[in-house]
Amino acid sequence: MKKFFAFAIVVLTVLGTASCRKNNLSGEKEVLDIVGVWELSAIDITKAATLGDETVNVYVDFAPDNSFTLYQLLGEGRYSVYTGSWTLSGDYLFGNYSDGSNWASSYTITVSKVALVLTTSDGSQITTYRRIDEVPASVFENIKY
Amino acid sequence: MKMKQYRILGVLAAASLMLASCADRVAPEKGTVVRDAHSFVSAKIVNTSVNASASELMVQVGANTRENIMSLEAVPGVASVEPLFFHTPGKEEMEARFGLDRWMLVSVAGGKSVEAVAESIAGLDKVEKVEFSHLISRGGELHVASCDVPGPVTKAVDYPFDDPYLVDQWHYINNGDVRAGAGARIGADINVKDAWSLCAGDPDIIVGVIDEGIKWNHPDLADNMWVNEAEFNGTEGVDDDGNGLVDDIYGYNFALRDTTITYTSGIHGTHCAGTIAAVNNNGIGVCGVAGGTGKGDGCRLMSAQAAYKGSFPMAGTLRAVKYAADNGAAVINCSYGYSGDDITSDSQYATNYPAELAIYEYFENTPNDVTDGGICVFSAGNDGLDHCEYPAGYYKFISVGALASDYLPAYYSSYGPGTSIFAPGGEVQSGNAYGEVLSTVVPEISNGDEYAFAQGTSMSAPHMTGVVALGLSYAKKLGKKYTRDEFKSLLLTSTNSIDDLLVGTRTSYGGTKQLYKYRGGTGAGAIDVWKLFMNIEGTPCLEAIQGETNFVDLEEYFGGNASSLTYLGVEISDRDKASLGLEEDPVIQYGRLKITPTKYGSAKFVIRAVNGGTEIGGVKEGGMEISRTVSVICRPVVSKNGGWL
Repeated sequence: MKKFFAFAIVVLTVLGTASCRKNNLSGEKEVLDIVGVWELSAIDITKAATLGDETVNVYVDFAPDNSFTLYQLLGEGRYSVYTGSWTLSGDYLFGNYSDGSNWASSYTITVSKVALVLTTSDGSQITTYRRIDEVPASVFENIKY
Repeated sequence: MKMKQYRILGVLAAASLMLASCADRVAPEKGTVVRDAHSFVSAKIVNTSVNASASELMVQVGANTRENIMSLEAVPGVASVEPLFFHTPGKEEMEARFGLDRWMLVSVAGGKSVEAVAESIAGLDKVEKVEFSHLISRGGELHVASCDVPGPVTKAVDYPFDDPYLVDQWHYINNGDVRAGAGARIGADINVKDAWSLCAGDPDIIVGVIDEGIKWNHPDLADNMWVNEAEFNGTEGVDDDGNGLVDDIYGYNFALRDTTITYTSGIHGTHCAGTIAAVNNNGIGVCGVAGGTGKGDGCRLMSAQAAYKGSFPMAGTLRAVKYAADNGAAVINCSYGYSGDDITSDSQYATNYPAELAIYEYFENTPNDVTDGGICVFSAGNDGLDHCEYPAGYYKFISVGALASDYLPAYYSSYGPGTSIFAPGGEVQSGNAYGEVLSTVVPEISNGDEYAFAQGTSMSAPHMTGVVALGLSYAKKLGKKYTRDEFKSLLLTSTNSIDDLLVGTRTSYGGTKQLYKYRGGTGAGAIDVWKLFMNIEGTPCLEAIQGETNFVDLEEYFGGNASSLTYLGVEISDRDKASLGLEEDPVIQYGRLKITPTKYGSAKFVIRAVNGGTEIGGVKEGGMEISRTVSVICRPVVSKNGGWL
């Protein structure tokens, strides 16, 4: 879905470049960790098809037990909540929703203390998320049940 | 009141429809009639004369007796009285159950006021209801454009039939050819290609086309025409089957009350018929959804002619529906409706149009080989409203909105409450017609063309009607039977969501639209024939994305512990591998099905696993082998639940 449009959203300060590296004295591959709460901060679509006038708000909480909760608001209305499971294998992230649907794409990721960047498997879309402490209360007050 | 003819021409229907307001409706004591300057205050008169015939009325009497008919005939201004519905021998019980035997068609004498006659009739004790005969019109927008030499065959697609124009029917197999539109998407079709290899029709499934006459001798329709055997083999000029009609071989012309089906009065019926069941794989012309495989196995088309030159006289339309019911039709295609906002609620429809509702219910309670009642399919309307137009919008009918070749709602299509589902209806592109729906037309009035493009919810409804017929054919093939409502549920849950595409704007011939407005307004979504077949079989469908390595969750097949079972392997036929363009067999990895389709298509294969152990027992204590047949659909237009990730 998101491969087909670009949005006018306020791009928060681009964050995170070099991640804090652990000591790799042994030369082992670094284990990436995306557990935590993230807020969508930027979308870069190189294959935009149509431009819309909606805004997008997304929060995702990747839990340590490989479940996730996703809060999204596209345009007007209330937040929709999705849950499911995620798997990270090296820098390759994929997942399913609880209803069995696949994610729209699998992703190659980079992650740091402050930012998570997801690149779709066809390379056409890069989304950036900034790390936050918790999903804001304003989201919970505005959920569509 | 002068009768005005209203012809719907989609967005061009700017003809000002000044609807006089419905007056206050006070229910007086029974039998009394009170009149004021503009309205008719009688509980028995169920609608108004606005947009209605000035020369006839439909009247329901308490009992079908000679005495009651005579009292109607005696009312000043009445020219004649006849039964509204033709009686069919053997159908007495059903006709009585739905009150059809008590409806009369009253002709008003020239120069007399239909309102005055209605009032007088309503004053009679034995009269229960008086209904003005409302005008209906067709829902198609005919940007009819002739069809050129068939387009080049794209090697990426294996076309299953040899009909030369199948390559131009994106609505069956969309390969993203931009001739069908700049935004044409691979897979934006009804997903019938692989289903056709399982079943493409059954001559015992009959479809009633309630429309202009079908050109029954069209080379690409003739072999799929329903034939009334008794009349065909009988004597000309004789009512061989005793149904009150003479020589009704392929149907009957209820619009003109005549034996001769007139197809040169308009192409609408012929075009709809071709979408439903043009003959497949006969080396000529086009394909139809349920047109068979070229071996005489297509569904049959019945020409229950209700329209003449674009207008559907009410009495004729109702009679056509009864004819379809009484002669074995399992589904009817109704690409017609009322203009714009004439009716805005189900209760208003039921109150104002009791004769109509009675006959559609009669059809829905007439059993066939597969279901215990027929199915009515209507076009949703071309006025681009945010709610379905009527009668389509009535909650019991399947109403069909229109998609364009980019899998998005066509600009003219109505949507929202009352809309059941969407199917291709086509959309004109600037400069060419390939974005519309290609089907059979009438050469006598189409500059000699036998095939042409047209757009409208008039075209989306026959896609759905063809799907109903095809689904019934497959169910029959598998020996399955359903109640009518069970089958409707299968139909209306065999879909792909387009909600995740409904973002941003879309610019087309009809201007620029904000797509989020359609979200939640497309009913079940876009019809998917493969999913219908899998639902009929009881085989759940998984979805995979083309060009990617998918890890598909198997819980639907192997239960909650699917991801931790030991799997023994996957068995897949060469045909199914080829259909998804798999370069290697699917395997199970991470407890999921790993599959990398490179083509869009649908396939079935077997997955084997061990239950109750990590290896099969028999010697050591171990588990038993279990297996499931799995169905996978691969479409670049992946239907999801709208989730962001």
